[in-house]
Amino acid sequence: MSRTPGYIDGYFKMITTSAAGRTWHFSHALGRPTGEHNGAPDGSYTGGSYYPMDIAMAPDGHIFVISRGIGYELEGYGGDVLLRIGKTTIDENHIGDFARCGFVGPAGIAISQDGNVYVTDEFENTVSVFAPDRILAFPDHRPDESINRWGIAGSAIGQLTNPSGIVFDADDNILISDSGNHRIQKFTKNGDYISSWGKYGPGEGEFKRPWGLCLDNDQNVYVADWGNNRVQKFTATGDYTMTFGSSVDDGSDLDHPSAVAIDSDNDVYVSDWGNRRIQIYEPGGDVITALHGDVNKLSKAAEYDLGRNGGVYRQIFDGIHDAMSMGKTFERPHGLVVDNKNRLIVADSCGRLQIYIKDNDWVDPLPA
Amino acid sequence: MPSKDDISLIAHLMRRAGFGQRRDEIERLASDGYENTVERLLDPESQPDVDMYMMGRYHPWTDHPSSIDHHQSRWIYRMVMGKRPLEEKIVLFWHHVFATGNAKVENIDEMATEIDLFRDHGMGNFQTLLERLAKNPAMIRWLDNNENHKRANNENWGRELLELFSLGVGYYTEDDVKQAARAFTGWTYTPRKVVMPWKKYPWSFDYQPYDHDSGEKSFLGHEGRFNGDDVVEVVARQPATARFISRHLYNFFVADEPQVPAWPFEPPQDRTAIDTLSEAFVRGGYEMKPVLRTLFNSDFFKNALYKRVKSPAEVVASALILTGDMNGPDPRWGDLPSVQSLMGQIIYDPPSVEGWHTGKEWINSGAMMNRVNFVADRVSDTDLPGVKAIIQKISEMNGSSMNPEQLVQHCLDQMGPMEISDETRQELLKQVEIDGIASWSTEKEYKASSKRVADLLALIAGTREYQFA
Repeated sequence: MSRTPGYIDGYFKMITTSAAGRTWHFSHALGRPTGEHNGAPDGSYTGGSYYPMDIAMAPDGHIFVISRGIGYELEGYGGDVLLRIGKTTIDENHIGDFARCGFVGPAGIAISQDGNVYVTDEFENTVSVFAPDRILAFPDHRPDESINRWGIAGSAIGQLTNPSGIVFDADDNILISDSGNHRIQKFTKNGDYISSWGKYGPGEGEFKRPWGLCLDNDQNVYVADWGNNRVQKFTATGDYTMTFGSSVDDGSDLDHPSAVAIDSDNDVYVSDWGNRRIQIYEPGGDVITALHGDVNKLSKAAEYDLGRNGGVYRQIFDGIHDAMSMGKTFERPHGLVVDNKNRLIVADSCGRLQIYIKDNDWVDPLPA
Repeated sequence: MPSKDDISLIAHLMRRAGFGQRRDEIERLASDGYENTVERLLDPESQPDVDMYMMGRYHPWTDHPSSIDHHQSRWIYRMVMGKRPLEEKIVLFWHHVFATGNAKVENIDEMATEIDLFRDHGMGNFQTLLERLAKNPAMIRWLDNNENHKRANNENWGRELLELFSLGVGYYTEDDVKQAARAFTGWTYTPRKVVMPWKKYPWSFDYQPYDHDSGEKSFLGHEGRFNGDDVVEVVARQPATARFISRHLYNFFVADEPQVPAWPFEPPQDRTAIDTLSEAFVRGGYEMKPVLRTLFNSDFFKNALYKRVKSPAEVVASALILTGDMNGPDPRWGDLPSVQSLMGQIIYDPPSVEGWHTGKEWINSGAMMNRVNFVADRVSDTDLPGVKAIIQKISEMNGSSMNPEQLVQHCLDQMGPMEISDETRQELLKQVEIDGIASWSTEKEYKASSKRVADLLALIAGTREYQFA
């Protein structure tokens, strides 16, 4: 594995992480923790997220980001208006926010084939459905904005306790990490129960508070088994197939993984929440490498924020040489998305997304 | 089955050495014995630490805190969910004694580091704790030692070290303050930079030899080229320090004393107790555990039931523990700091270096209303597991029905056990007698009686007596 950031002999070297014939170039960061949302009056872009929990990408390239909010009512705004879904693009052309205050504990987000946005709420024990284009001016909030909501709290079959990860399968049905009940449940998109598997425990097919989940092209299910420090792979019907990671500190280990994603080569990306990194595995389970976060310049949103007040903050910031080196790494990686160009988008809990581009043909022009 | 007195004593211990406990756990501890419970409290490592991963997952703003509220929620979570009650209580004790406020420090992450210091060393050696405190960046900034230079002394830290953190007024001179300040010149923190877009700069202790006055000093009768550590060593071993810290322990764990500024003029209410604690402190080599063991096993502690007004932190945490409310992930953790604040205690931000004024000064009309409402809202909620358990327990007493006197007594027993004045008892009875006998035979009766118990618990939460720990 090699990582070669920064400038050498006057040439800028891409920030890359290479291993096993594959390379991941750090591309850019997106957003920052801010209450601003829908673009500045001068047309510049802000697009903040506050504790982003999960992300989903629509076929048209729009990225939807859940912001978990600040945890209490923001004084003067009548609610925690940082609790919302942001809609943006990978180039940080922030479109706006919706569903502001439309939930209590949004945890997972997924998009149905008809383009609606489905969000699990791990405190309300519900799934809320939102139309994707109802942008709200800041700080407007409409708690009843969802076009549908379903879910019953409880532990019986079909009921939910702290639902978190959510994903649509090829049939447009929904798989949910029913975290507090330590199982995976499948529903129609209208909330009708279909099936479930798993129970509390450390064994194969058992879970301890599962979190994120995803599907590969064959509809195999990958579950971030948070409390068991592993990712488990299942067939579409819930039969156990294999495990990624372990609690043993051998380089492939995981500490409370929060999310999982698959690229077109079937490489497996895991948000290693406790270790603050993204672990990347071969389809067979061998670890390839890890990403630790590589932000090397400010996002548009942060630049905009620092540029206000006559640029005073910009001047202060420029005087701090090690600022970016201290701030580049993941705080806690949450949700993951790999788009159809094999670009990895990581929801970084400190209020931004970090974007990586996978490159299978990279030759370093300036080897270290 | 432990006796009523055993249960009462264990409940008292858990209110003082922790934040209260549910009745079933109190009965279990009483069966295990008082001394064994004290020893378990003094050995926090024998119990698992709080699972802060759970807090961080479901409340990510506490995992990457960006405000004082977030840190406050984290700490309250520890008070409520922790299995090491005395460890957390001693953190609150030192935060009160070595009061440091974020209003001036303006770096809540560093404030949290100071609180962690109390968690790591609060039950250890006092001199070690004081040494580390003197090098804690939050404290350095709070008491201006970063402005204490070789050629321009700032005496704030040197003065408070002697006045409020060790000896107390009357046991040092103005010249001792000046000499202490000289010894701490060059003790500062680094880096002193602004907040970054994503993180605050972590501070660390920085000793600048060129800014240190290494000259001869005369301090509390000792001569030498003292540095800060030497001053701490001298201070920690003064008999006055043992008495001062002992009086603080008495005020915090045993019974309300006057406020600290009055101590030079008003003697302790129990001088023998202070002497006993001081002797244990010195004999134990300034270790905190021996003095705490002496305190909790003493008769003066065991006889001090309900002699302290609960602090807001105790009111909030004990109500949640008793009722089982918020026993895990819950969106309301973020609301608790403001609740506590309305009762008059903003943790991480005490009003001054004196800490909070305790005892009856916790109570005013606004604070009282908030205290009562917070507890009453919970004990009257029959869906909460702790309230359900209380109702279940009461329903099993006296056969299938009980008269108003019995109902009042059972509720008082489950809430404490509490002792109340005749006047208060008559007021409670007046309310309960309206509905007469409480019966539990049928589902309908059980439901109606449950509601009566819940309402009565809420009334008890509003009594004068419930405000005491």
